[in-house]
Amino acid sequence: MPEIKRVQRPDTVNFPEASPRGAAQSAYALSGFGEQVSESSNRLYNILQELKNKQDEISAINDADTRITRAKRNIIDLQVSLERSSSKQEYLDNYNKGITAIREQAFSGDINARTAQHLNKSYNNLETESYASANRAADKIFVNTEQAKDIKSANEKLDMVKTGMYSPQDAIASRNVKIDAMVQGGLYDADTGERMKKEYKDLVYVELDRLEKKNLAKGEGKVRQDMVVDAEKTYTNLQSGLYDKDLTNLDGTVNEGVKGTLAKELDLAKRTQKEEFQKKEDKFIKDQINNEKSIIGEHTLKGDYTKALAALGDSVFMKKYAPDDVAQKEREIYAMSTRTGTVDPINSAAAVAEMERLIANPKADVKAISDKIVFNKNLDKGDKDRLLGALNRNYSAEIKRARGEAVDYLEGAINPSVATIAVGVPFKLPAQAINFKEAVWALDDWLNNELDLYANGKRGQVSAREITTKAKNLAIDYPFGRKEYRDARKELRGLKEE
Amino acid sequence: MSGMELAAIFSASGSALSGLGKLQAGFQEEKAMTYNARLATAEGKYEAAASEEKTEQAIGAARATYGASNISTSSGSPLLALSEMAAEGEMERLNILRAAKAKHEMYKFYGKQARIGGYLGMSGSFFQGAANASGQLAK
Repeated sequence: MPEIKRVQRPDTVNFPEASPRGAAQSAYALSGFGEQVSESSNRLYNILQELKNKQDEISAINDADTRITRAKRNIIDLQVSLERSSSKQEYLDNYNKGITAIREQAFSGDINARTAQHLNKSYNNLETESYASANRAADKIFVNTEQAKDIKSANEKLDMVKTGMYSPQDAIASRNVKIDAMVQGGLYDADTGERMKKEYKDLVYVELDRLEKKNLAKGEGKVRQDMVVDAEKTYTNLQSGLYDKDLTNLDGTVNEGVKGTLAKELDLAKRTQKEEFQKKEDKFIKDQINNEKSIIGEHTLKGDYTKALAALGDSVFMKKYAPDDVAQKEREIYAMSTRTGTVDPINSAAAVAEMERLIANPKADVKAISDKIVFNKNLDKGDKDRLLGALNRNYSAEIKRARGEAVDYLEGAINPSVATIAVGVPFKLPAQAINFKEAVWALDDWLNNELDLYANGKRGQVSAREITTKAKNLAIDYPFGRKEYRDARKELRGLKEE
Repeated sequence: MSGMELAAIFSASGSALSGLGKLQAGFQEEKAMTYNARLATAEGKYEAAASEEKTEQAIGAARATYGASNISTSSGSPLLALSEMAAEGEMERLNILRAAKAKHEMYKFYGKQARIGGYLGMSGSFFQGAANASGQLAK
């Protein structure tokens, strides 16, 4: 019998157990997913919440800023409106009232907690600052009002100083005592008190100085007013002390500096006044003499020598200030009045030549030359009229010079001296003198004609060369030839025989 | 509807989902534990049967030995010895069955706890989600 092999069954069987975790894995995953969703949503919510918070914060800050800005503006307006307060107390009382109203306004209306928080913080700072500023302003008002009182007090003291009841030093000392008392009483701090002491001193001294200058200026004004009227008299009065009471310092002493300055001014003024007076007087006399001469000259030119002599006799200024001139004119007029026949041509030519030379001078004194022409006994009326015409004609300096040279040339060519008498007087002949005069008149006629043509635009400017050329031609037209020379010799011999 | 409200709703929904997951997990774990309990019982039975068989084999071997030695096993010491062996074997089998039963009960207990845990987890998540959402929406 075969051996039966027994199969040994194992003692245990190990079936795998189910893992609860593994079995629920999908559920856990679902749960985990839900948690993630929740967590992410929460995170998102928190972020959004944070953003919202920030937004609210900004909004609150803006709102607070707006309210603060408005409050600031109101505070400034309040401070400005209180600047004219009459006292520190009034300023502070009104300021407190105003600031309370501004605070109420700043916190009024729809305001959330966050805004209120910001506003509180900022507003407290603003209030602190504005209180400090208000206190400074109030102090300023206090100081200003006190200073105004001080100025008033200083002016009162100055009045007292003026009337001699107070010396400037006493005034300052009195004020210092007052300020010391105020510092001790706590009304001024030590610095302000010291500053005001100094300012007060300056005030008094400056005021005194100003007052003194004002008084002196008044006195100086008085002296200068008199100086304008009569400097010499004012100068004398100043030196004799007549103005001393007007030129005093506050202490009653005469201000020698100002007095000295005025004396110098017066000295100068009196000399100036004298010179000016003299000039005016001279001018007046000259004008009067010219006037008298003019009347006499008119009569003389007309040949009315009787009237001319009568006018000469009636002259006041000429007689007083130019007696020699009167005598000379009298002789000349008398000679003219007693003259018979024509004027001696030689003398006449000589006079014409002399007058022409005077006229040719660009700087000639027209009145003086005119005078010489009018009262020249060697010139007849025709000569005078022509010479006066040439004198008064408005020749240019260039034409005058060229004409003078031309006349000189004509005199040399036509009317030279042919002999000299022992006494040295040049001797000339009547014929050459007449030729010379005629040549000069011909030159003037030509020149005047050319100048008229130029004035009418019918020719160009007359040149010096043209005048000289004309003079040369005229010297040929009015020659001093042999015939004339012989005639002259005869005439000379005849004169010698006479 | 604002972003924050949406976020709050999502958060609450997430919590609800998480709660459901936890509930589901409780159920699944219970199932696993039930399975394990049944497995423990089956294993116990198997091991008890094995033990019984083993005891029978030992007794059979002893009888054979006694038989070869012409020792009667129906009386006297051999009988006592065999009876002892049979009694020991039965005791072991019963112990195995008891242990399997205990294991079965333990798994069942765990399964029940897992289910309760699922309920509690779900409730916790729901309440947490509801609280969060209500708090967030209230802001």
